[in-house]
Amino acid sequence: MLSAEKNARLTQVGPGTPGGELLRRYWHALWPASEFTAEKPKKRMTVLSEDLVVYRAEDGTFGCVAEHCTHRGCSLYYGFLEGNAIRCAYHGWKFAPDGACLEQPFEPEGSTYKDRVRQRAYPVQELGGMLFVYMGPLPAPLLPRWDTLVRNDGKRWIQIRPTLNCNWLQSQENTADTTHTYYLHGHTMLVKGISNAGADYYRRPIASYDFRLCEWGIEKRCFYATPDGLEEEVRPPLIFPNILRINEGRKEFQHWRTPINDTSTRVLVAWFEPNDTGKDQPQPAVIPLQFMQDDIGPDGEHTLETFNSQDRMAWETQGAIVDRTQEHLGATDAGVVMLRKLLDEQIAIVEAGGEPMAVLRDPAKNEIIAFTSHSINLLASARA
Amino acid sequence: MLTAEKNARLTQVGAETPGGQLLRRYWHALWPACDFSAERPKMRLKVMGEDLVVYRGADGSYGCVAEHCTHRGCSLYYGFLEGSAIRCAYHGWKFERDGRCVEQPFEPAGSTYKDRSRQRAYPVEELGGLLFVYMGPLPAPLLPRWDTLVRKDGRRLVQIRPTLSCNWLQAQENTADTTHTYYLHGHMMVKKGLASEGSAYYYRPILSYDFQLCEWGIEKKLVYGGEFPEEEIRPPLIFPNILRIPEGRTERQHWRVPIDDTSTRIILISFTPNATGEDEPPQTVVPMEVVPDDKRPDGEYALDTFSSQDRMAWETQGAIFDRSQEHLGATDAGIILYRKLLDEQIAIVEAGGEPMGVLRDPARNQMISFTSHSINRLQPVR
Repeated sequence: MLSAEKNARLTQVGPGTPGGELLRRYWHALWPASEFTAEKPKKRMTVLSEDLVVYRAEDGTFGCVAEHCTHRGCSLYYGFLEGNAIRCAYHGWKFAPDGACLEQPFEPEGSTYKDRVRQRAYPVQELGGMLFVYMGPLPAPLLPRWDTLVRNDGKRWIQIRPTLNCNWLQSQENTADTTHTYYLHGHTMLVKGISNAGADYYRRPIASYDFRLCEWGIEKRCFYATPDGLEEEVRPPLIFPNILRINEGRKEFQHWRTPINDTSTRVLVAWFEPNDTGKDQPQPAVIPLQFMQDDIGPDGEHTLETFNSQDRMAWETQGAIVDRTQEHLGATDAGVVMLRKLLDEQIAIVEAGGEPMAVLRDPAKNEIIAFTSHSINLLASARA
Repeated sequence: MLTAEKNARLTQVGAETPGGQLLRRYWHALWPACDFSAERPKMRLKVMGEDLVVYRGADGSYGCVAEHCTHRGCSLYYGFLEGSAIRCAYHGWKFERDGRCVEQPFEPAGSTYKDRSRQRAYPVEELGGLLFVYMGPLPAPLLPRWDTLVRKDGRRLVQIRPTLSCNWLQAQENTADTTHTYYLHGHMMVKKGLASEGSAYYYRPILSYDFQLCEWGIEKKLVYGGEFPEEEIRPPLIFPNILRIPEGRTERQHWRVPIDDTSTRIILISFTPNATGEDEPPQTVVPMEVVPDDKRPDGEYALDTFSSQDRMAWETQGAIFDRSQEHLGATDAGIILYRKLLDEQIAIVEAGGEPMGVLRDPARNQMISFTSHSINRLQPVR
């Protein structure tokens, strides 16, 4: 149970909020690069409660500026792209990707006004077909080279999930919640009469679970009771602050829960399926993209036929921002408690002027960040 | 840049707000008269945050009352028209056009209660096919006889533009913003491959601009350079919420009528003079046109007309533009002048005075006309 104040501290994402300031120390998944084309080079996106315009410039680079022109507030979404700059459609003020104002048409000759105004702008980088934005104090840290984005011994694709109508922390707490899988996934599938290997995997009694802090976030251990004894689940950790890494058979995937604002969350997923040889293979110029269909039925109900729909039901029905003054946590929630404590501590570090965990500045540590997982594979092999 | 308090002062339109009090000193365009008929004599219209019912009485005169009956709040839109009066459908209270309660059925005989009850009601007048309403303290000033409404040497058309989803001041500031035309209209049309003589007019370098207060509002001077240099001569910005602008030989006048703080009705009159300059028999009915929404099916601004371009600029500033976040430049001198004027005129009303542009002398109201030329003169320098 949290106080209302603590709940706000951990969940708010806007600029100037303690939680928002912490989140701004990390690169956030923005959108697939392939979605920006010569025909449609601009997109409006809200991230951490800030309205942004993201664009692929004429020179192929990406830019990200605050949506509303600092002059008189017109949307730069309708601006003209020129080189790597964007020009407001209303009065023609022109901004470089770093926010410097390059032109103010019809201002008096010799005016230095343009040197004194800036458009808010944020660095954007592409990796593995995904665009990332960094909205914190400069210099920006390194964009982490997650294995799902940089491995070449297989194929990669990107998925965009239906937007969550709830605060990001509800989805992230779920990643520290090992035991929810038995009922929400295993049992629901059984009750619905849906045969699913993943559901069979989860529908086994959980003999023990534990959680500990690690370099990237929280390591989770879980033992299932099986007829052949205990089976240990080996999974990648919860990655701080807002990433889930998980596998499905041999496929590895990584979820970024990017806060749109306090009460909605964009879920972007990178999938990687290794080939059989373990050898690098040529990667396509355009990483394939999949938009997942909304998993709400025509009657407005969660269908509960997939893990995604089941998770979404659980997170969204907790409320737009779950009121954690009303909850009653148990021993199974030790991971959730640990995540909140970690989040609170890291917010305090930023408040004290420090750098929070898992912010990379050493290129030597950023060749490739790889994790191993196995477990579902074990079950499959036991059956084979 | 304005403080949040000043921004509220200049933008709010409700009855109890400083800005709303100023706006209530002027006649506001309401709706085309031709849209009221025997079959459909009543309309609900919201003006400056007030819900109104406008009706053409059985006697052909127009009335305008607050929508909700002062008795128990039922909508008078469903009321019965009787002569020049309207009777509430719920309990039959009957109101004259000036708001007097003339009947309260089944109240005790001899009751004087009805003499102490009034429905809020506002004067309505018709001119040039357009209805106007006055919502301020009585006696009402004269309804200005703009040339676009009273000239007889041509034809008139009333148009209703798509409702703006933003505060009225964003549209009106644009009228004091002479330099926006180069990029928003001139450059945009070139980029869209839609360049025309009209857009080429605006796609000329602006050498100088200047703004001055005048009797009606703000006079704007602008000098274009480039291959077709010329000085632009335009009617002034008319205080508080009117745009006058020529398009070719047609003279247009836009009223930006606040529906509430965050939406604005645009009613415009186009007057096209005939070739002879001779007066014609009056149009028995001034036709009206409801301009279809100019957003694309995907919700995007099409940006292929000046109107769509302007609407994009005004609406994307926000429902009420947060002027504490702006950065004005020298090109915005007209906007600054206009805001200062608006602030001063609000202060005059607060002090119990009468603001500018309010007419009470019939001799000055024969016809208010303006001249413009410039678009007609776009031709190479000899």
